[in-house]
Amino acid sequence: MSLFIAQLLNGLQFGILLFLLAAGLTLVFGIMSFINLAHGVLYMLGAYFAAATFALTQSFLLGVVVATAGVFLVAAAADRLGLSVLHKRDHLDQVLATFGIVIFCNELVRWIWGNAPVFMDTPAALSDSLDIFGFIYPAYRLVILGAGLIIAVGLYWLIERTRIGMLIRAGASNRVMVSALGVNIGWLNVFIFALGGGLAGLAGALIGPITSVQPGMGDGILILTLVVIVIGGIGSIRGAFLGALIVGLVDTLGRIYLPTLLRSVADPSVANAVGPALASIGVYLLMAVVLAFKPDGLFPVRRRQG
Amino acid sequence: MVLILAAFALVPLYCWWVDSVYPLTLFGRILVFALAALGLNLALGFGGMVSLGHAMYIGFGAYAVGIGSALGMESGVLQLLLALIATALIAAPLGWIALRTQGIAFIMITLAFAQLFYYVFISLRMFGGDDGMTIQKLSAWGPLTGNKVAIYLSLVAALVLAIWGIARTVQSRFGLVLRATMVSERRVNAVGTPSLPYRLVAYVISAELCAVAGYFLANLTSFVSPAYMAWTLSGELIVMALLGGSATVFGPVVGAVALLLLEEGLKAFTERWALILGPIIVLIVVFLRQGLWGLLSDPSEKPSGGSSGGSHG
Amino acid sequence: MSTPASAQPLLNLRGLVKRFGGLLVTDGVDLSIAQGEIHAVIGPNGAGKTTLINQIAGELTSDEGSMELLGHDVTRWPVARRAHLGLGRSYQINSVIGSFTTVENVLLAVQSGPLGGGHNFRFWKPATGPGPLIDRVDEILRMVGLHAERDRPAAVLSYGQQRLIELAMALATEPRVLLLDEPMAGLGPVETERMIELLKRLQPHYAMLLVEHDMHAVFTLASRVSVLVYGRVLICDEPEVVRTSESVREAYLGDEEISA
Repeated sequence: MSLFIAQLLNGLQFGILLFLLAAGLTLVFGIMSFINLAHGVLYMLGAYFAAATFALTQSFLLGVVVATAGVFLVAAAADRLGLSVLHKRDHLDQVLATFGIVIFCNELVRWIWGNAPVFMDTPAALSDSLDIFGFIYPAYRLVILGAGLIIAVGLYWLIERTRIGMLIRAGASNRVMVSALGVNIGWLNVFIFALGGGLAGLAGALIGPITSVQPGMGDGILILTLVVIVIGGIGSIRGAFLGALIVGLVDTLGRIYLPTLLRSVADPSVANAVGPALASIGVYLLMAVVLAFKPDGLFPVRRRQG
Repeated sequence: MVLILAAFALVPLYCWWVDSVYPLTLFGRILVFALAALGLNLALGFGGMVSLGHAMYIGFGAYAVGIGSALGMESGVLQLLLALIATALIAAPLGWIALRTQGIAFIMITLAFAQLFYYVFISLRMFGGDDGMTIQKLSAWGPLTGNKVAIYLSLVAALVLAIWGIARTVQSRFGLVLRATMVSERRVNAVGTPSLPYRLVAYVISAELCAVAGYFLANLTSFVSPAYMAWTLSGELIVMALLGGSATVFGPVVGAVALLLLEEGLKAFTERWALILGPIIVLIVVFLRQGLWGLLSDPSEKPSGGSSGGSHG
Repeated sequence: MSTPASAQPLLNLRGLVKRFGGLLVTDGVDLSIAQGEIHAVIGPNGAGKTTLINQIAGELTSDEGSMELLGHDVTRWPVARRAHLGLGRSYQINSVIGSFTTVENVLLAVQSGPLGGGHNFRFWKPATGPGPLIDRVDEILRMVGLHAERDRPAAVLSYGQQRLIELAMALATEPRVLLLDEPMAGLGPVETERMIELLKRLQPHYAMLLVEHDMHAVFTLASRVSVLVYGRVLICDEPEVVRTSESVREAYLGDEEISA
C-alpha cells in the first residue's frame, strides 16, 4: 500500500513538473498561436543554469532563482531579438525555425558543458526522507510537489484575478479585439513568452537534482508536454493543470502497474515482451482515446469567429 | 529536372569507375529521403498538413524488411506488401484522429504518435530494441537479392514513378480539392465536398511513399533501428521539403539532395556541424521560404502560406 | 414565360434557436422560401443575421428548432451534405481561393455538383482538361460575365470580379436554394446594378435567401422581407408593408436608413 502511495505521489510530482512546462506552452500556443518546439530547450537551460550556479556557490536556492530569472530573461531577449518575426508566419515556419533552434542549442550545450550528464545534489536540508505516519517519502519530492502547487495557485490568481490575467484570457479568445482596445499586444506577448520560459527554467532547476542533466533532455519532455496540452485543451491553464496531473499519474502508475497487470492476465512471455512497450506508450494511447471523443481537448478555449 | 534524375541513374557507373561503394550508399540514402520528402510533401505542401511524425512510416517500411527477415519471411514482394498494409492500417485511424482537431494540435498529435511508435520499437528487444538490428538476409528478389546496384536502380525507378504519380495527382480533381482545403476548408465543404476524406487519403498516400522509402533504406543499409523513426528525422524531412520548395512537386527531391549534401559537407568540416546547421535552417525558413527549386521554377511567385492541418474555422 | 412561385417551400425553418454561452443569438426563427422567391433578411447590426445564415448552412449547429431543405430534415446534417443536396452559399467575405485561377475556383464547385459523379476521387486526368465539367464552368463564367478572366489567378482580379466568382461558385453546384450573404458588399454603384440585374435573371430558378444592407437592392429584388431584431423575426411581409411599418422604423432608429 505504501508503495502505491509513493508511486501516486511520484505521479503527482511528475504531473506538477509537466504543469510548469505546459502552462507556459499552452499560453503561447493559445494566445500567440505560436508553436515553440524550443520550449524544451528553455527547460534544459534552466537545469544547466541551476547546476552551474550550484557548482559555483553550493547554494541550491540560488541555483533555482538564477535558473528561473535567467531563462525568463533569455526568453524575453530571444523574443525581442528576432523570434517575434515568427509570430506572423504560419505554423510550418514556426515548427521548422524552432526545430533549427533546438538543434543549435542542444549542440551549444554539448559544446559548453560536454556530453556527459552534469550532476546536482539535492540540497542537504532536503535530502532525507520524511516520515509521515509511518510512511516514508523523499522530502525533496514533496518540496517539488508543494512548490508546484503554490505556483499553480499563483498562476490561477494571476490569470483570474489580475488585469494582466484578464488581458491574457481575452487575448486567448480574441487577439484582434485586444489590440484594438489599445493594449500594447507586443509587450503582452513578450511577457507571456518570458513567463512561460521562466516556468520552464524553474522546472528544469527543480528536476536537476533527481535527474541527469544532459544535452537533449528537453526533447522527450517537450513531447510529453505537448500531449498534456492537447489533452487539456490548447490555451487553457485549467486544462494544462488537469492534463498534466492525469498524464503524470498515468505515465508513472502505468509504468509500474501495467506490466504487472499484464502478467496476471496474459502469458508471461507475452507480458514480458509487450509490457514495457505498453508502459511507455500508455500516455499516447490515452491521448488518442481522449481525442477520439473530444478533438479539442478536455477544456477547449472557444474562439470567436471574429 | 531530367538532368538531375539522369545524374542519379549514372551513379552506379561512377562507382564502378572509381571502384568504391561509398557513392552508391551516399546517393542511395539521398534518394531514399528524396522519396520520403516527396511523399511527405503531398500532405504538407499540397494539403497543408504539417506532420512531424512521417519518419515513423519510414521506420515501418524498414522494419517490415527487418522483422520479416528475422521471422523467416524473406520474399521481397511480401515484405513490401507488409510494409504497405501495416502503414495503411496505422496511418488511416491516426490520420482520422489527428485531422479532426484544431490546426495547431495536428502537428503535436503527429509528433506524439510518432513518439509512441518510436518507444514501441525501442522496447522490441527481440528485434534489436534501442540498438537496432542488422539484417542478415535482404528482401528476396530472385537472382537480384542483395545486389546493391539493383536495389539502387530500382530505387531510382521508384522515385521517377513517384514523381510522375504525384504530379498527376496534384493536377487531378482530387488534387484540386486537396489544394483548395489548404486555403479554405470552409469553401470546400460549402460546395458539397466533405474535406476530411480527401485530406485523409492524401495523408495515407504520403505515408505509403515513406514506407516504400523505408523499405529501400533497410535494403540499402542492411540495418534498421528506431533511429529511423526519430522525430528529429521527421523535422529534417520537412526541412527538405521546404528547402527545395514545398509548392512544387520536384522541390522536395532537390531539397533532400541539398540538405544531405550540406550535412555531409559540414560533418567533414567540423564535429560541431549542428551548430551551423541549426541557424541555416532558421535562415532558410525566414528568407528562402520558396525553396531552391521553387525559386528556379517561378521567381515571381509569393510563397504559399499553408496552414497547419486539422480543421480550421 | 415567368415561372410562378410554387406553393411548396424549398427551405423551411421552424423555431431555430442558437445560444453562445448565456447569449441568445437566434431566438426562435421561422422562415420559409419557395422557388422563384427572393426572401430578404434585414436587420440592425448585431441582429444575428450571420449566425442565422451559418445555422442554415450547417456551420453552426442549432440548439433548438428544425430545418427542412427540399423536403428533407437536414437539422443535423453536416455542411457538405446540405450543399450536396442543393444548397449553395456565397460568403460575405470572399472565400474565393486566391491561388487558383477563375476556372479552377468555379471548377471546384462544378466537380462537386451533380455533373461530377458524386465524388472527386479521381487521380489521373488533369482536372482542367477538356470535358463536360470545363464546358459547364465556361458556361457559368459567361453567364456572370467573367469569361475573359478565366485563366487569371483570382487573387489579381478586382474585388467586384471576386464577388462574381463567389456568386458563380454558389451557382455552380446546381443548387435549388441559394444563401447569399451580402453579395453587394463593397461593390460600387455600377457593379451593384449589374449584380441586381443578374440576380433578377436568376430568380425564377432558385429559392434565394438574401441578407443585405443595401436597401435599394433589397427593395428592388425582394419578394418578401423578414426583419431580424435581436434574433427574432419582427415582421415578415411584402417589401412595401415592411418599409412603412412603424415597428421596423423604431427598430432601425439611429441605425440605418430604410427609405431607399
